[in-house]
Amino acid sequence: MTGIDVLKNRRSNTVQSSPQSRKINRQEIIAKGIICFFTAFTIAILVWIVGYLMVKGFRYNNDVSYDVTTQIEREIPLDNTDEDVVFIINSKVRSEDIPVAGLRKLYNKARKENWGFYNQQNLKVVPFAYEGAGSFSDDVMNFILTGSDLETYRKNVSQTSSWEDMIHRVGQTPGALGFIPASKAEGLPKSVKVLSVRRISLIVSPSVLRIQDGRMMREISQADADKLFSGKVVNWKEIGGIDLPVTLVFWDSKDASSIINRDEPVLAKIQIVHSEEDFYSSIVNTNGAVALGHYSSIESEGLSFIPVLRHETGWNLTWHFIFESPARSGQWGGVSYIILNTFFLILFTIIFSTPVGIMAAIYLVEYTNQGRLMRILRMGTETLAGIPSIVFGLFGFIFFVQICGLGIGFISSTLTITLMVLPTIIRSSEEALKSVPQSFREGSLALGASKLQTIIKVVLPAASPGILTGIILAIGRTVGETAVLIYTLGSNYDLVTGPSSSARVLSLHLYMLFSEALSFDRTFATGAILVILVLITNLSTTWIVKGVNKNASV
Amino acid sequence: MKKIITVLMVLLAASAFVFANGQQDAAGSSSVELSFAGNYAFGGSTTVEPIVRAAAESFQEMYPLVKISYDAPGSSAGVKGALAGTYSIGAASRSLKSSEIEAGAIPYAVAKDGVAVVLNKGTVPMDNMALKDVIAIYAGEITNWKALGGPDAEIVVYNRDEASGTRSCFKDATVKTQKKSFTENAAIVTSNGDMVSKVGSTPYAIGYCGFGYIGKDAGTKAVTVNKIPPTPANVLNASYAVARELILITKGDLVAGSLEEAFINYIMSEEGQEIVAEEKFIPINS
Repeated sequence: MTGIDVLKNRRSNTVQSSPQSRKINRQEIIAKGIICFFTAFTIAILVWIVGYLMVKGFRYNNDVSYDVTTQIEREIPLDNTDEDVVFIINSKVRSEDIPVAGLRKLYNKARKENWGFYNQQNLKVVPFAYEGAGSFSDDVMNFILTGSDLETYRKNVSQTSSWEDMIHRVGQTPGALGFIPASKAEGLPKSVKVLSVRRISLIVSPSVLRIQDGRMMREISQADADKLFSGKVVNWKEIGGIDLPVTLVFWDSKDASSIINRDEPVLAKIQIVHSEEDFYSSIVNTNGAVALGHYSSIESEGLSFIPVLRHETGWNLTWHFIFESPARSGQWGGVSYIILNTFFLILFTIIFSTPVGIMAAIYLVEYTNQGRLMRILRMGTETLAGIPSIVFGLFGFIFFVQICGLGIGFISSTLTITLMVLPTIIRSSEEALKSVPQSFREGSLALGASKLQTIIKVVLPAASPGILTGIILAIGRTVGETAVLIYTLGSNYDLVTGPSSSARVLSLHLYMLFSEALSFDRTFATGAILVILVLITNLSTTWIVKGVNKNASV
Repeated sequence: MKKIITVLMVLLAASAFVFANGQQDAAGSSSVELSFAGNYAFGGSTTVEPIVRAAAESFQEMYPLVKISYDAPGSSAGVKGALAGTYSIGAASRSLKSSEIEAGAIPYAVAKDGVAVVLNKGTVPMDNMALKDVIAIYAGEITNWKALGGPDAEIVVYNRDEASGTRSCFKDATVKTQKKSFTENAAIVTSNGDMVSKVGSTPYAIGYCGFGYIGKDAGTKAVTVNKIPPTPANVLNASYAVARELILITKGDLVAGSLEEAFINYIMSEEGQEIVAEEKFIPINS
């Protein structure tokens, strides 16, 4: 059926509906339906991708394995004193609680400990102590010290003169850590907060960790641990362990009753002991035994334990992440320098490429006849625009880095990217210049303007929205570029300081974080920043083009 | 147009100011010395990278005028780079070949590391593997998990690239002991991180990585080999077979008073070895 027939039928449709025209109507509806379906499908996929990246970028959601359970203690009882101790930190530290082994390291390490190990915040720990409170101070010191490291402890801590002085100085010093008696912990200033301690471990008999049929118990989720201590689990098999009956060991009956829910029947075997010695020996000697005990006893008694998974969730892409400088291969701190490096790269690429690109376009449109040479030239730029960026990377590495001797660094990468985006800028500027009506030029020439004056005063302003679009496209390509930069920019994550300094930009940082498995949360956060950056670039295109159009028409 | 450019420039300057303040540093950075200065390029193994980067960060705190960069193209490239002068210190996770020693490379062992066998956690049920099974898998003799009592599924084998020190160490301790060679049917990955993320996301996958990367990907698990768990203690008492030394390399002897000497001394110091432990490697002196 020819197009004319269709038109005829459609016209006749209004007059009478023949079977043929109904058939065509149906076809139209089906075609429209299919098109609508695919459109909706595409939109749904796009929304899903961006949504997924954003959700993953903004929130983290992990199960982290710890030697201790999730139970936190704000106040810690001491051995020989009635008064409990409370650990306090400066409010700038983004931690709420810490495993006891970590707390001891904060005081005792030969090297100054960094909060980064606990909350990815690049901040040195500054421990404070007060030794003037007699047996209380000694007791706290015994709690913090592990064995014979008194010397390191003395070297690390700064002494304070009173509890008030301690609170004051912890509030003044970023990254500070101190301790006070529980009675002083009321009404702390805003600059100080309490650091809770997690020190209860899941101690088990070594038999639980045996390998059976090539499998073993590696770790346990907090939910399973709770289930275990409610007495509902009879065999380790039920929670992913080996075939072994569970025996719950308790220090005394009060402990047992506080943990086990009395309304529900207890299915697991229970053992109640009354002395410390019995407690440890019955854990070790009873097959399948499990108990809750202090982490410190694991070390001192040489006991076995099961790591517990804690579900952790929170904000991933925070202001801290954007404004802090990176440290420890990007595991700590944020991406501030990397964002800045990205901006610098864009800025210098545009500075280098725009004048050259626009001038080339002017030459192509205004000064040459559209001959054979021009066709070859045009084909050349088009081919260059389509070449994969890794090829430019290779060229940049051989030419700028090695032959020109510029080395891996900022200048090599900027020049390589300039070459890469030039075709884009030339092509779009050319199209923009071509779309300026010939009458503009003729009018200007008729008024006595020279060719150069015509180009600068008449043609360029009229073509500026198109040229700007090309530049912004080039920015988009620069932001997303990775392959070129691997070979020419290096991988240092400090701020660019000169033309030869090796650096990282966002896309490269994302690649490094991912390929070194440093942190998937941070990879997604970096990805989210990139998406947002591209979004802003695209929005600003429309905004700028609109603004320029308005100016041009006035 | 002019307006836009001005606005952009002002924004850029402002952001530079704000971002530069992002650097947080606690009070009391102890002794600041200015005796070393300048830019230094180190590079080599991806395994040693975390140690050198962390040590370089502390080192730069002591000597604020020093800038150290680290590139990680692999152990072999690290040795080559040190010999060619591209890197003033190279790093490798394997021992030097005799040809490299003849060319003037001098090794400094800074840490020990074990190589752990990792499996995909969700799909492979094993928690222990016999060394002979690992060898059989990597030699291409066992290709299905069923042969080892697992599910009926093809084993996806991941191997490292030829430049990798982890690969040569793993090869020496496994397939080479039975005079076999690696299977050709393995997918090649280029770094430890790449390895754990690929093994963690591919069902029925097996791979190997340095101890420092155990647990970095939630989808992987490190298995015991011949029932011996991959822990630092077992490497030190030599019961865990797959282990190697991590070395830094210079061309020719260290020049007294040079930055390279100070840096290597720093890594060997108590503080430096603490960094080694922080990055989950095994201190050389213990």
